[in-house]
Amino acid sequence: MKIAGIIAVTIIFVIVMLSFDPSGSIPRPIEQIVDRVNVPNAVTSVYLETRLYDTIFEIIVFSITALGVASLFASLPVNRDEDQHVFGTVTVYSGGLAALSITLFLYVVINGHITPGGGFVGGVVLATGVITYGLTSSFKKASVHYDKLKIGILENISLMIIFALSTLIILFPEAHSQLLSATGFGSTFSGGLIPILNILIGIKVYAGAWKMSSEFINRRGTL
Amino acid sequence: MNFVLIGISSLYLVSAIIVLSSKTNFQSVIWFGIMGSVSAVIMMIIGAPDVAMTQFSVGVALVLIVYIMALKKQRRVRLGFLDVPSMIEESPSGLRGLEWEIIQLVDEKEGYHVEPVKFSSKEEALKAVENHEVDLICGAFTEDDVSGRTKGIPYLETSIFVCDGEEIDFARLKHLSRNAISPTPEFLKKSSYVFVISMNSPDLERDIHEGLNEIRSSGNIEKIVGRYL
Repeated sequence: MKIAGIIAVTIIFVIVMLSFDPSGSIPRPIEQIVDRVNVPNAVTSVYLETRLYDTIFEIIVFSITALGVASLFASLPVNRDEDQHVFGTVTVYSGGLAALSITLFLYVVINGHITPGGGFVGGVVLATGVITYGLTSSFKKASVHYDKLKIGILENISLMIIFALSTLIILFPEAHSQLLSATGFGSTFSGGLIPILNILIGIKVYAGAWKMSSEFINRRGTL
Repeated sequence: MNFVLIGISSLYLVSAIIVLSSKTNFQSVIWFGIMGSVSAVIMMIIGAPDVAMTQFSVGVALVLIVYIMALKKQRRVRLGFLDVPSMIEESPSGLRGLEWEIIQLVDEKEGYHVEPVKFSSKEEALKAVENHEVDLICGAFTEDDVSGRTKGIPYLETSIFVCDGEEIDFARLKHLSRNAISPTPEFLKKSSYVFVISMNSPDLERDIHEGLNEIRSSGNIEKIVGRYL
């Protein structure tokens, strides 16, 4: 039975691989979209312009998930275990990793409409970097910034602005396409409201991801 | 180009199979990370760098960290025990004994967080496991101690003797004779030593069963028994 399963999987795999053409031609509509939106990154131009509804609901789903995780963890007792065991060598690298992830976050989010990236990726990269720093160096030190920079309030404000800007783009597509074509193709300050949306989504995703994982660490302790 | 893709995809397939067939959870998680990185490379090659970046940061880094954290503190097992020499007893360097070694072997595989709780009498320990205050008790319990509200996992055959009108098992008898109180035991019946498990820990029961089977098939159980009894 096991051998039959492995043979079946292998045959399906070979068929899929043989029929697959990775360098196949890009269908016309995508080129038209890039032409119209005037932004080099086709993915961004789809999910922040022509299919903006998808993104709005994706953000809503993400917010509800973060809310659900936070409220589920709220019923568990907070772990009061103070001493965190870390390895000296890892601590040396983790600070650099956190700095690198902040840089990558800024690059990916600000250039999201030109190079691969965008708000979702940026937010997750930053959250992963900061959580790794918290786990390998000092979780206490890593979690100070959440209250200090008032990330919770920032998250809600960016959610509101995302909804407002998306409503504007959906209600007045003509005005936005004028804004899009006004600037040069491929420059940082092009793409109308798209870069602003990317930055806000990045903050929102970062805040949600950090909240979820820090609640997890708070309740169950670090490594 | 196509050959590179086929090669990397085969790695993807192989690592996916290893994730499913891994013996321990930890191994499985590590292979999950390898599978994630391979899939990110595939996405990169076929022209989806956005997705590859997300896969790298979420699928490889974040999920792996959370899984390892969860595995580390996977489950607290409250282990009740009676101090029975050579089965499970307190020593200056922590617990030692035959049953403790078996529990350690199972724990090594599953990554439980074992919290030992000491009981002074058999009745107390049995009551605690019936009321789900502890998940598992050990300390030379035999099949006779398993009631309808607990489960027993037999791991070693033994004999019950009658000594001065009292029923006594092999381990306790051995301890008595070691203390130079020459007892005159009479063979009563055959039985087995069991781990008594609370009814609401089916996962623990399954893990101990699997662990015992593995220890038996590798022949380790004879070594452990030979060392203590």
